[in-house]
Amino acid sequence: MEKYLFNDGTNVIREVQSREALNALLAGVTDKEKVSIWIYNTHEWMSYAAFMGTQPASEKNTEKQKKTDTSPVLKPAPRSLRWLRNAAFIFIAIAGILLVYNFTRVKWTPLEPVTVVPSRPDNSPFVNIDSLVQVIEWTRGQKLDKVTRTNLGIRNNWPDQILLKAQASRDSSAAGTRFHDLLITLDNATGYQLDEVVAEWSVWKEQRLVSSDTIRFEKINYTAPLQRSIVGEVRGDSLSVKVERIRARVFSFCYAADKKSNSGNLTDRWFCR
Amino acid sequence: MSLYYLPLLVRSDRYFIAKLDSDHLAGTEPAIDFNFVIPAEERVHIPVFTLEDPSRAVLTQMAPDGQQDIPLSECQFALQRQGDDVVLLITKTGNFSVEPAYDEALGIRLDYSADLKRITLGYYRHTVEPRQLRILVTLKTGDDQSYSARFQVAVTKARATHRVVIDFGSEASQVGIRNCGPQAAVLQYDILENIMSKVSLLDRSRHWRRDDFLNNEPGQPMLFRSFYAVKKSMTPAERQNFPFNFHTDWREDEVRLFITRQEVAATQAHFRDNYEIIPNLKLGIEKSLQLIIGNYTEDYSIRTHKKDLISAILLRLLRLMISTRPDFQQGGLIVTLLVPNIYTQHDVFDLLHELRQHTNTMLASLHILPQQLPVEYETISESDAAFMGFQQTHPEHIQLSNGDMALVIDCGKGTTDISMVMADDNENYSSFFRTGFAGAGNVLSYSLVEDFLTLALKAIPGSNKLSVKEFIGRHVQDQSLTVDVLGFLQLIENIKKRYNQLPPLSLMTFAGLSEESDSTERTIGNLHRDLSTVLPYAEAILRNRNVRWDDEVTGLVSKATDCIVRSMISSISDVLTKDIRKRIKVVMLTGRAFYFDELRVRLETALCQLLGNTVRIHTVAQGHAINNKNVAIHGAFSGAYKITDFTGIPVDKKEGLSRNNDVLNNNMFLYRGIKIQPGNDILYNTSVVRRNNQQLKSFRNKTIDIYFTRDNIYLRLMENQQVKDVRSLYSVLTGAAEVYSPIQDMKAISMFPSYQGELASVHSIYQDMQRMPEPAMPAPAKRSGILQFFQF
Repeated sequence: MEKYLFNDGTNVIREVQSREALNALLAGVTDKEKVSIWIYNTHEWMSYAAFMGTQPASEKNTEKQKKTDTSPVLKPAPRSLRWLRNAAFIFIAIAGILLVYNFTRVKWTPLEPVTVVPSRPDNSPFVNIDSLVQVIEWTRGQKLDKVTRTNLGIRNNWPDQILLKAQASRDSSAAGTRFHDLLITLDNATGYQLDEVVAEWSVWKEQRLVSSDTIRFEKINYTAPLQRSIVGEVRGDSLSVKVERIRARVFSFCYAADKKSNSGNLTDRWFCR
Repeated sequence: MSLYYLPLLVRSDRYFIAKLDSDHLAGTEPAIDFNFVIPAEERVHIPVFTLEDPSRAVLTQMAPDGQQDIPLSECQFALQRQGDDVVLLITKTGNFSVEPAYDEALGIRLDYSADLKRITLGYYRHTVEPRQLRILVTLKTGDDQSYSARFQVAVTKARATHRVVIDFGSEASQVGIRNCGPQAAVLQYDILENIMSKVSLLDRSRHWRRDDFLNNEPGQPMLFRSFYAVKKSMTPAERQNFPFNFHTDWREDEVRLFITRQEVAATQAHFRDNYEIIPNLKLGIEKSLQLIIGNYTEDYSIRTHKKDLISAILLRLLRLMISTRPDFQQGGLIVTLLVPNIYTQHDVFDLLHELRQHTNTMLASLHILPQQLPVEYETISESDAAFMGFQQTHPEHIQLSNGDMALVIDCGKGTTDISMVMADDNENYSSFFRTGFAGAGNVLSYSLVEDFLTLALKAIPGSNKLSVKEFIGRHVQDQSLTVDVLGFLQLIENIKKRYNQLPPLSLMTFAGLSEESDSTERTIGNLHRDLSTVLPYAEAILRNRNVRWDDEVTGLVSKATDCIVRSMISSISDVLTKDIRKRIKVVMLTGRAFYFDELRVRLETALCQLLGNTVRIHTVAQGHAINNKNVAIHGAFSGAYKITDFTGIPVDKKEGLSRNNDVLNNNMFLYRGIKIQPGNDILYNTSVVRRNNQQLKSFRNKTIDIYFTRDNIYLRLMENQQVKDVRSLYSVLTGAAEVYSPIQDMKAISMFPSYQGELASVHSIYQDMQRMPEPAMPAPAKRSGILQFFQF
């Protein structure tokens, strides 16, 4: 199986395990001129055009076809009476279900959508980085290099740079309130790629937890916010969201909501290797 | 004027082809051809020279003057004294006879045994008196012409005589010693320990440890890393004898055997100002030293002076041994050098000549008279010695019948040496094919360097902006082996050694590896930001880690392995005619490069395809006292007399040796020539002689005889049993290796990091090799006739 490295032009390198996965990534990129691809077992990056030039003609045709024909390919239906009969049965069944649903459903009234932002966690208080760096340099007797200073700053004041938000649509009825179309947004403004962020969203009713779930983000880029929709609806009075866990090897950052710090060092609580 | 060659067996362990020159040559006093050391025991008959099977042996005539060969069966043999000289007189009488004689004063006797079919000139005395003798082998033909070979023979007491084997490797050298007395064991000499003791004597304030020296091989105290240095400035008087001026202060010697880490540290300039480091002397790197002689400079080419520099180092190693071992300072020494198969016959004899010429100077520097310590030099192919060592230590694996062959592939750091040895019915082995090329473990190391740098400078940063080739040129090759470069290369060697045990990390995980230090967060991922710190930071980050990068991203390591395997198969596929392929029963893989499992596995697969699945493939396991590196030392002591100073045998490219029954019967190939069929090319190691070569015009459509002599290989044309034409094989050879660029590229990489020119990428060498014609593989045998209908 061929493997690749994929660079969408933001210098965030992704390892791609198959041609299909690569195609999926390519399909999601609008400006293909910025794309570079590294085919495993070669020794340099290729532009998208050069990559397509190396592919067999059938692959190129498939690519071209994909650009023009985005509708799913359906098998042409066999022209037979049996097909017509099956279609008629399905249609009648659907119609029946819809009618039953229409007469039995609860009527909901839409309300204003809700947006929730978590408060700064107690285990990550605001830290004056300049003072902290001064103290560390004076204690160790050596200057910290630029990368270390930057990373220290991000680790200590991460809530200002890793922003989590939950948005949901809200309806009310005689039965209560419900939330649906829940959208969790994660905005990474650190300038580094984050390996993993686990967020927990919860729904409350009368001060009691009704339901809770976690959502996991991986390989979070810093170029654009990442959004994740939660399918379905939940019933309750209020919604909350918080960050459970963050991990980013690139600047040695491991945050956990249930801890006070990783190593007991409160000047750099979330440092990890 | 005629010229005769006669094969002599010296002692019982060395074949020497004596050249009998005319005694009537005008001009200077005839010189001694060679010198031998004969360890003798009291009241034991020791053979000095033996002529085997005189009924079939021949004095081969090698001048195109119309004279014939002289069979020994038509000669009379007698012993004579001429003053202090002993003469073995061979007179052409038409009948065979031997006049036994015994010179009691000298202890020399001449005997003939009809049962053993041997004429022996030997030594026998009640008490051994060390003495130096001149022994002449003189042929008197019927027309008052005489031809002689002159030898200096030193008879020594066996217990005072030592055999020394020196393996002068590209990466590491080692020395083995064995006393010539009875039941002596092979010992290894710790070169570094003795250097440290010498240096400590000169500076008692300093306590040295092995780690202080670049020459230390961690975990292998008997290996001595090949780092040598040459002094750059000298007086005109010193230049006369350069590099054979032996200094009493080992630190100020003009060729330094050792280099300390402190001397190459960035803060030290003194050593680098005065000395030039040459790590890969064996391959003869394309580099010039700028010598400062008085008020002028000289461009001293290492390649042209390879034999001088290697001899200088070998003599210094001997000097170290003699000065540190009192038992070496009297008696005799027989020094055997392991030589790679890429050395031609001329290279070998030039080396032996240099060594012989300067030995007395070396002894004088230790205040030892030449007659106190006679020294003899001989050579043996590295791959042959490795085979003999394996055969001695693992006899159950090597059981070959008469005519069976073993293929030996010795893959070290700089060179790959390949031999085919053949057994006779007494389990004596002779080597009939040798070849080799530059390209072995160092090619793998280079591929690892290139692989790592490609990931760090291109793949991880996500762009092709940085050039790996430029980086290697500027930050490795041009740096003259700074501590950073040496540290990085050592890291690569450590990774190579444990390659299979280290789990590979994905690219991004590898990029995240950081240095274990509080004041920095340098990672592999940000190495590319500052090129001047890539090597030291890479070493700091990866040191003491048990992981490696994913080699599938570039595939360079796999490609380098493929290139080496392909070169090995190409080297032997031409000579593997049907008969030779059938005879090869055993393959032996030796050399430290085979500790890299992937290389060994791929080569084994290719060999099974080439030779069939029934061939047995053996390797020397790692971690034992006898290992891939020192097995050759043990083999060199084996006394395998048919594996001698020769470096390969020419074969008929089409027929192989199938028309040469003498060779296949393993009886006569040192006596008679090998017949090459008309119309066929001749293959000699990595070179080819084309039958359409203009110099061979007179040989066209005729059978050529090929004769080995110790300093040349002759092509001889006979008419009516008279010598009609003689050519030297070397004058008509075309180096096949010269033609192919990837082989030259691999040679350059073998000299990394000292090679000054541009190094090709492993990827491009691989692509070039793919374009080369595939080595011939045997077609699967088709059953013919009725058998083709049956499936078994």
